[in-house]
Amino acid sequence: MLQIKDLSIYIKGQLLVDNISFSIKQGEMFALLGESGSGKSLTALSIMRLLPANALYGNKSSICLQEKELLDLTNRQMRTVRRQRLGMIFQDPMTSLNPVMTIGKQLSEAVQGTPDKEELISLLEKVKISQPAERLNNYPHELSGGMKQRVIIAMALASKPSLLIADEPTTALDVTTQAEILKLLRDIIYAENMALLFITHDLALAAQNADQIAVMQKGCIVEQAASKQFFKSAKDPCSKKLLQSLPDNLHLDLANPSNEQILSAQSLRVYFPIRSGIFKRTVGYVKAVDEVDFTLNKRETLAVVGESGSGKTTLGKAILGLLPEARGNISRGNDRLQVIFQDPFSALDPKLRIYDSLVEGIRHENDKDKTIDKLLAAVGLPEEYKWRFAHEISGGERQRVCIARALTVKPDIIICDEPTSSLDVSVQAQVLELLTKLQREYGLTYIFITHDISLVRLLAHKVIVMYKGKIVEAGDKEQVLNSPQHDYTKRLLDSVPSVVA
Amino acid sequence: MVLLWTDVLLFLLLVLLAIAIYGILKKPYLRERLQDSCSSPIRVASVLVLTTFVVIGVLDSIHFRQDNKVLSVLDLVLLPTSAQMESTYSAPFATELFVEHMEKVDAENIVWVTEKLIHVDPLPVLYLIGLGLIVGSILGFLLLLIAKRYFHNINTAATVSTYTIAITLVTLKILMLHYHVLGTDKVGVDVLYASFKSIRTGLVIGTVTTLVTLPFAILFGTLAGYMRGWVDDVIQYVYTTLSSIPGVLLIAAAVLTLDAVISRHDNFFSLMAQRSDMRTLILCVILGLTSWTVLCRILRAETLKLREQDFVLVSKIMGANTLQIIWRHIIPNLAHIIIITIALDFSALVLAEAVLSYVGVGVDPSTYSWGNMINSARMELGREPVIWWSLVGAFSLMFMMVLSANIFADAVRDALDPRAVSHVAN
Repeated sequence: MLQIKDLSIYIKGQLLVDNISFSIKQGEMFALLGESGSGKSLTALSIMRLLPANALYGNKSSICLQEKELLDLTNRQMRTVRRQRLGMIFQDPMTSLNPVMTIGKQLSEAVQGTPDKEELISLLEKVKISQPAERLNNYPHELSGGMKQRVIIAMALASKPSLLIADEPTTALDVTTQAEILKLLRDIIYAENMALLFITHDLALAAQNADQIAVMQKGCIVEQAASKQFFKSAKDPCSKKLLQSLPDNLHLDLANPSNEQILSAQSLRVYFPIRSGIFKRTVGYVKAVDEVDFTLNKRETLAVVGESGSGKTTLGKAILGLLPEARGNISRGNDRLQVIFQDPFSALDPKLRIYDSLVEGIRHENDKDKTIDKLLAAVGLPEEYKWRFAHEISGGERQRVCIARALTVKPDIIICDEPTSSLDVSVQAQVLELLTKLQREYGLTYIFITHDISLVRLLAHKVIVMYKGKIVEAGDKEQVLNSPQHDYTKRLLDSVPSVVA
Repeated sequence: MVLLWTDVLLFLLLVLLAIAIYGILKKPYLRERLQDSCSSPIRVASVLVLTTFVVIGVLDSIHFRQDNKVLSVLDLVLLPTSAQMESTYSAPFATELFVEHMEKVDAENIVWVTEKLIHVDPLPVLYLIGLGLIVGSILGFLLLLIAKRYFHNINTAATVSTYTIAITLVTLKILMLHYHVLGTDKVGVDVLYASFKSIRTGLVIGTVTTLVTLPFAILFGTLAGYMRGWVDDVIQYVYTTLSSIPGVLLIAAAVLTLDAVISRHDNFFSLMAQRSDMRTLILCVILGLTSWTVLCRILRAETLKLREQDFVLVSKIMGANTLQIIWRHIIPNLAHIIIITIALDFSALVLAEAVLSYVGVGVDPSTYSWGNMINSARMELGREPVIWWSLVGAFSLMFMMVLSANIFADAVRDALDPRAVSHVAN
């Protein structure tokens, strides 16, 4: 159906996509896999011919959709192709919908002509949205993330396209929602006999869902195979490295926890008041964290698992003492707490050099320079990095700097709030290794907040599972993961994509 | 030596600027960025033009007393033009007055005659320009020789701009010895001289006002944005109230009131110059007090965004207090906004001065300013034949100063904002 031959893309004279070829058959789910900056999104945009204005196609490039050469079309013809034969789903459902238009209006824009209500409802039924008739009058903010993504899929399907391009369609969603959305996409393309180009950085996700897999690295396709075969016998060193970096295939030396208890919380509550009326009277509470108890020993890693909105980040902030609304009992003695955040971009002040960011924590020491050099060495960064700005280093390096900064105050406990979820798999593996190494060397205790169960398996000693502010399950790693008791935990474990499975 | 209030403030600002530049040059990574962002030819030129304006303004700010009159160094440089006056309008490069003048020959006959200008010495213009070219080139060469001792990388753009500026200034000076290059105005003052004298007024209004604005805007903006709660409420009430009163009304009321105060206490000022200078200063302060709200609002909004960033949270966990966080993390991240606003305000303020002079609440009528010149041009443009040179003189200098200030501000922004993509030469 879609045939790409010798596709090259230059931007400002730089070769960003290098001579790639692949083809997608009808009723097939083709996964284009790669880390950030590998050129996979550029490839998707090039099929839509929506590349930025300063981009150029290579001389021999050819993109054929149902025997029609897309690169030879005029802009007007291309618009028709886009409207009738191509559909695209973007990563972030929050920004892909216009917040001031109802779902029904946006949907009818996607359909050719003026559709009647039944047609719109049937579209929404196709993507399995409950009560579709009422949803038509809803605004985007009234729907959950997963629902929004379903609406976007419905919009993409409205023109009955032959090829659907999904650029990281589930990255912004929770694991359980992610599994549902992907199942929906798979069902639809098999039922309608369409083709799906599925762009992702998540190997496990591709493994579970795609029929064909192509791995992109620095603009080239380094390996292409049927997905079952790929995971059994990857040949290329790059794809081998990707496979090895998967949490399922990693092995980390965990520290041995001692029996000395250093942190405990009893009936910890964070209720945010809901105020209304002119006098701002409190009419109710949002129970972000509700009656949470846990204990933590030295050199132990406690994983807090839950989907977004479950209160796990609020719990972290409450332990740090940042929330005046927190009630209950936290005994943390004289132990020092530190934190590592999910987004290393916003965690470093863009106006400060690495040196200045680090020096903030060691104000009272004499030999600051020496301490900084030592810390940079500990997190595996060269010394001269201290003179750089945050934007001059990569995401993984930035996360290492954040770890070094956390270490400046000689903490006993570090709260890691999704520290690897914005990183590529191979970088994630390195950061996790670093974290366990530091745990062994410095005797650190971690509270590891994550939505990714596979990481829990890898580095936690104890787990608590949170759902809607409450702990639904807690205990040792083996116990929780191997014999889950609560329904939510089971659902969470089932939706995790896994290569082994 | 006579020290006027605005002189003091202007010199204070220069010292601050010098400290800032020294601070930037001391840090190699900032110096590199500044040099990079100033390397495109148009930016080099604008920096040099701006420097020339500042130098002229500074020369005009060193005052001394002579025969009961307050003169500045610029007046000395522009001698004899600064001391000579014709009787009324004359066109550029004219040798006689623009207006014909009635003369009675006897009881019945009236003759229209044009009077010769007193202070014109009509040598061929081309000859003077040639002389200017030669002397200007020599001056430019000397300047570059001196500059080479302090900067090692002087590029073509810098060389060309230096020569251009030196030749222009020297040629103008030579021409001014023999002609009224831009004619004279109603009371016979050389228009080019008046335009040069107005540079200082423009600089003072543009910079001293900013000096008044900044502390209010930065302090209130960051506090409101960072602390929220009742602090935010109070500050918002204050600036909403202030900005809902028409600015011109507030300024007019304040200026007229203070004017009355000044004339009641005439004995405070031993010199005319001190009195008109006080009026300029008052104008600056009032303009500043009424215009900080705009910047304050922008800074508050940006602070609201910054305070949610993780690095602020980290700093809080490290034990920094509110003021430390504002000083270390918030204000540096606002720097580029502040600088851009200063540059845009600078031009807006120079223009505001013109508007206020029109209403009659601007600088003192005896102070040379582009506003006063444009104000008088209102009547001159309505005449037939049109007298255009006052307007052209004021307009072209004002335009050059505002334009080069804006381009320079772009360069500084690029240097200070680390997120800005490296600048492609324009």
